[in-house]
Amino acid sequence: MSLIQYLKYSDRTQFPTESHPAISDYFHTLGNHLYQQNRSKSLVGIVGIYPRKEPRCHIESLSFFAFSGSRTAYAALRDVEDVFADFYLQTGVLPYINPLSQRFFEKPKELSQSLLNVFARNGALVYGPQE
Amino acid sequence: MALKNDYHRVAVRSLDACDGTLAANVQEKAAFLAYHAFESAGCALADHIGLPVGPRIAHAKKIKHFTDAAKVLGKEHAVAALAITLSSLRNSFLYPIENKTTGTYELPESKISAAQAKELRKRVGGIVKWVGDAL
Repeated sequence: MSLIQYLKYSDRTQFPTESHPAISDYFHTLGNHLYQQNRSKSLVGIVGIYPRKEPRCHIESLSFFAFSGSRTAYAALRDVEDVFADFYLQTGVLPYINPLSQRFFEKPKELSQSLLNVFARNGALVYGPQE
Repeated sequence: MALKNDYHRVAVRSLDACDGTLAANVQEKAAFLAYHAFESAGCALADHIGLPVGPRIAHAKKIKHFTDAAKVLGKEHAVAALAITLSSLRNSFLYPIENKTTGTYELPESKISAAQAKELRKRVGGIVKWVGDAL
């Protein structure tokens, strides 16, 4: 089972439009930025996490998981920070990015059950391999 | 001395400490000091253009103020890119973080190499100098 199959919103065109419209817009905008501008060969996927509760006021930050072949967390972030910076400057929403090894994208069963639960409940594929 | 100058002084001294820590080959602590220098420089610039600063301001808001202030002066992309990397990693430079597969904990020193910490210091140093010139 691939990671994409675990994600609640596994198709980036199918983000919910009613429960979290603003966040869906953010993910969609970021996904478009990444598909157009990402130059990193190490990056294989980005998963965005919907907050558990709908924010009552303006969203200040969002969590992401970046699946990358980079050796250190710093190198993984260095690869994607430029594209995320464009997104941040446009939206004002600060992305917190958790780097993970690219192998977990193909073998998600090696991830902890608690993280898989987060992906299954709140995860959205923002960027990934295109058909 | 104005508050903005106090914050800039904190930033410069954090970079001095970062240099000492790099010389001692403790790259994760050097990276955290670079982060502290970056945030302090951000507070200096935010204060300079009249935005609120201080410990009561949440981290995401401080970063937002820094990028807003940088936008006024035309350096927002460099500030935003560094802000994202540093905000995402700052806790992992301080504490062992759980490995999502094994349930064991990864040491802060595994998050950044010595060469990468030197590069990070150089990048933050450029921002701190730019803020100092702008004040």
